[in-house]
Amino acid sequence: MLGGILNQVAGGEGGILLSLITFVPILGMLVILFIPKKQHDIIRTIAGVATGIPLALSILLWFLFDPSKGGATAEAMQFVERHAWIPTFHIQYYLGVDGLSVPLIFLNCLLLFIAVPASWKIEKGVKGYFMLLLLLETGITGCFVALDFFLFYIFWELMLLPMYFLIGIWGGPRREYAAIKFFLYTLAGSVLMLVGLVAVYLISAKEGNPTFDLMALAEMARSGKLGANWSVLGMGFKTWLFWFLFVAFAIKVPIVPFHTWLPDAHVEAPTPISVILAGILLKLGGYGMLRINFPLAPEAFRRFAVVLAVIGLVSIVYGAFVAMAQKDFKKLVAYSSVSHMGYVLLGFGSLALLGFAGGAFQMFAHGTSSAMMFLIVGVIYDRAHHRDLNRFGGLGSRMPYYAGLASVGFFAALGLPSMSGFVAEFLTLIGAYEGDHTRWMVLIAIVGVVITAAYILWTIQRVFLGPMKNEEYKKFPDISLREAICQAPLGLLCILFGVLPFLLLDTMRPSLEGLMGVLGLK
Amino acid sequence: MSQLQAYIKDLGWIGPELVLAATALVVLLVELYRRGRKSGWSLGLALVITLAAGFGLSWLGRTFSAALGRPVDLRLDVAVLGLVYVLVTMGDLWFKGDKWDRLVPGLVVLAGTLLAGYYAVGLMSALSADPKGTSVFGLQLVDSYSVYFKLLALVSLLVVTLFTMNYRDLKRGFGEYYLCLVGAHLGIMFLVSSNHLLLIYLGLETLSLSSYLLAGFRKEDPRSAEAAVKYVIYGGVASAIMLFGFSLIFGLGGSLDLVEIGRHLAGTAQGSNRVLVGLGMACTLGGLSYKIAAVPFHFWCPDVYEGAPTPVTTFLAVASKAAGFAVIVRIVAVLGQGPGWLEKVTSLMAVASALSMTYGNLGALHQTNVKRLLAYSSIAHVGYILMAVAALFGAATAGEGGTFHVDPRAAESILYYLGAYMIMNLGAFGAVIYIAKSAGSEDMDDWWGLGWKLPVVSGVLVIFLLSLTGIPPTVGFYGKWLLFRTAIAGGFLWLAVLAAVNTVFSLFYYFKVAKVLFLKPAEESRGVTVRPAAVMAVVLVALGLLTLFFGVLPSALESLAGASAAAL
Repeated sequence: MLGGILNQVAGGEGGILLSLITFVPILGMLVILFIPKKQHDIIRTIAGVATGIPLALSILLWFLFDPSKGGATAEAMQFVERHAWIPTFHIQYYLGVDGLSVPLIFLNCLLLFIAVPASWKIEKGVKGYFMLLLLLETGITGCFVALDFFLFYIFWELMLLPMYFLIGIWGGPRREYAAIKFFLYTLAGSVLMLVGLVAVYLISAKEGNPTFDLMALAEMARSGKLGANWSVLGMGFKTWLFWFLFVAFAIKVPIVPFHTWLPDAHVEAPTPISVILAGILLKLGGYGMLRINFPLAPEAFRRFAVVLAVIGLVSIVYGAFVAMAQKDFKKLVAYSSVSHMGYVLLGFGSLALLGFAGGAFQMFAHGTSSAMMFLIVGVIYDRAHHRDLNRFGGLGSRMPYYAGLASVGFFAALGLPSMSGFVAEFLTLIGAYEGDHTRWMVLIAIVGVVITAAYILWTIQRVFLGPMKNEEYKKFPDISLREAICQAPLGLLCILFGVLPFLLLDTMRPSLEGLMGVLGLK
Repeated sequence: MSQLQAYIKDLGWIGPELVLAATALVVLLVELYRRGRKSGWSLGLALVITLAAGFGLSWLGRTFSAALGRPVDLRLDVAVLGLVYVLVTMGDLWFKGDKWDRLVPGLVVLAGTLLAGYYAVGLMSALSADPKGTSVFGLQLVDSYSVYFKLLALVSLLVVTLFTMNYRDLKRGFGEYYLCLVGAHLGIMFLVSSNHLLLIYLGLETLSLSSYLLAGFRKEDPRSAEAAVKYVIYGGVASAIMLFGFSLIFGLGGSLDLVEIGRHLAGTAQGSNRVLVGLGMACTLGGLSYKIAAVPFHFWCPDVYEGAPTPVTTFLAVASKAAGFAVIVRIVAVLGQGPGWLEKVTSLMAVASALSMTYGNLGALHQTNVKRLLAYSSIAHVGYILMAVAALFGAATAGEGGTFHVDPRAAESILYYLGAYMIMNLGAFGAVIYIAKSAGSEDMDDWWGLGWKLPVVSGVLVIFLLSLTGIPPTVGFYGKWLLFRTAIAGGFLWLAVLAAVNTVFSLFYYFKVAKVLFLKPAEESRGVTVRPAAVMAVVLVALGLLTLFFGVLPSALESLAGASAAAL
């Protein structure tokens, strides 16, 4: 009987599994809307349920998902839901997943679920907080499942408002500045995307097939029908389109030089929001490139891949150096994100399958390790109420469990073999070595790896090792069960995918191969 | 059928206007009676008029059905609504006291507006078969385009009336106030269906004169008086400029009828005439730009918006502006078909658009008075809409036969955006009335942390601000997307890019309001002394839901706008 129900919900024509994962959180939000605002525990519990259901469903999705079908084309998409939505402009409600999106959907649902216990201690405006959190989840999941450009854009923008308020209301001392900076940077990217969106639609209409269907658009782009003979201000339309979309997604990733919103937003955001920001929001940038930016302008992508790789390289090295110079624990983690996301871009820029796999793997690996690092920072901040690295020291002796969990997160970020970060960086570097024009970059990227190891080890030393610098810190309680529960699954995933990387790679590889085909790289 | 009968039949087409006119009269008479200057005759007259209105309405319903050739007989529906109308008016005679002084004229107007709206909806559905409609007395063009604007005007009147009934800063003179308000909307309704230069002028002046009075309605407040004077002076100059333009167009076109002029100009606008036609168009559009507050005819706007009572500001920002656009688009659409000078008009519009959106957004950045901020924001929105007016003829170039055709998608995007603009601005101004009353100030520096005390209205205001910025899923986003599409398809890519940049600017000041409301804890707020009536909150929530509804399912409004645009 269970199988029958499963088939009904998930399988084949008329399945609504993806819609459920996307919209259950927003239903939870509506329920919370009608709960009196003093009922904090009820609200938190509902939020837990409303994020727990999508998590369970996303695990189910991964099990039901058949990786062998490939990806990145209309035929390969699974769990497809397709309905006309705004017929005048051929806008569809078109959902579907392939091997790229399935792991990220799982990661998203997991992090949002973890965010609920991680937010348990928030006492200010509890009702508003959890409503916004659930709205945010719908926005993010929607981006990962949407296969219609217009629909994607709507979900993309849907994330902005909750994020603005979550940073702006529940953040640290400079929250107002950080929140509006985040909003303005992202919106600047969004309007670029909007102009690209309109232009793509008009071009596709000119070609006789007006559509926002990403798969169809990619198909047109591949066969050279998407604005091949057009140029604006002396530059080909495809090149314009590529850069417009690239900047839109690059701001989200973020890459140097569009990264300056990130340290501010991370430092000011409350811990659970930093976790979501680093763990999943940044991945949307990389995902958007793979799903939209590159397939819609494959020729320009191949031409400018070396530029992308260089940008990635700069991000790796620059982010690592800046991280090393930080005294603020959270800012250090924030800059390490800039550095780590550079690998994603370097991998894509290599134009090699292994590079793509490395980049995609890094998105997942960084999603778990950076989320964990922010939780680690949150634990110490809750106790010491500051984040100055130079004032800690010797905490390992007083908080052994905490130090143990923390080192898992740190070593995963460092790229220690047997941790997921290692697999990702290794694949990326091999991919970069395979790529003709990116071979020399490996040498410099290796330097980045060393610096990363340096600042992470130095951080561990400053926080956990050595003599206790402040007598008061001796009274700190060790990590609580709630905090450990938040971190444990992330640590487990870091190890699991480090030891058994094929669990993740097998899901992604056929889709990546499909993507290589779409991009004309095979 | 005799001539008289034909005229009577024609009346059915202007049913909404007739109802509004009757409403204005009734309000006036009721006011006279209530003022205590009553004598037997004024009471009697009021009774007679209302009864006559009731019977007249049911008779109109019949004529109307006949005129439209509708299979459905409207007599019953109209009679019921008419009865409500009569009851409300009569009820007034029994209820005494300050509270009722405020309430009764408003209720009369609400009833009248609903009735007129009912007619207008009927007209709309009757016109769905033939959007071009009919011409009444050769002066009024009752097509789906004009009825769309009449519907907008009526919605605005309805909401503004509700706002006024809850606007406590207005202490007396309710009768005169509503008379002016209804009069202004009556002017709008004639204006939007005018097909004749003279009638355009008359409609515009009816609207303007009522607006001047309304702007200065809080006589005790010097800012209000200043607003009225500014408005009158600028308005007079703009009218003069427009009339000069009319005279040139009349001289060259040989007629006051727009269609006639268009036909004439299409054949002859060559050589030296081109300069004159261009000048005539420039003056006409310039004078009309004053109504919509497009740069460089915007100087009155922030001061008047700030000084006028807020419900009046709402009206000026919404209905008055929509009417201005209705005329501009109709004139450009009808007269723009001549060869040779179309480029001039469109480039004029494109420049006005670029200036308006940039000036409006830059001006709004540093405002702390929320009404002033919304005034600048409305200038920016005019810029966005003008983008589509500039691209009204699509990517047309002087082609075969020298005629251009209106791109129906472009017209549709303008109509949709005006509808969207109305919903979100009604909401934003309503929320300002509500919050300003609670905080005792229109300055947002006094609003810190109030969002936690007034969560419902402040939350809804955030939705309106999102929509004004153009962030999905709101009606404002879809409207903006339509405008962008129109501009890019019409070859104005640079305008679209400029509008995109402006959108990012606008976020900064719109969210300054959201920031003020929510980013400080409730303990740091000044506290709430007064709570406006719950009715206000209900209206605002309804508008908020509408904003979201048309954002998620825009097709409903879009198909209406599309059908209306087909009449052009």
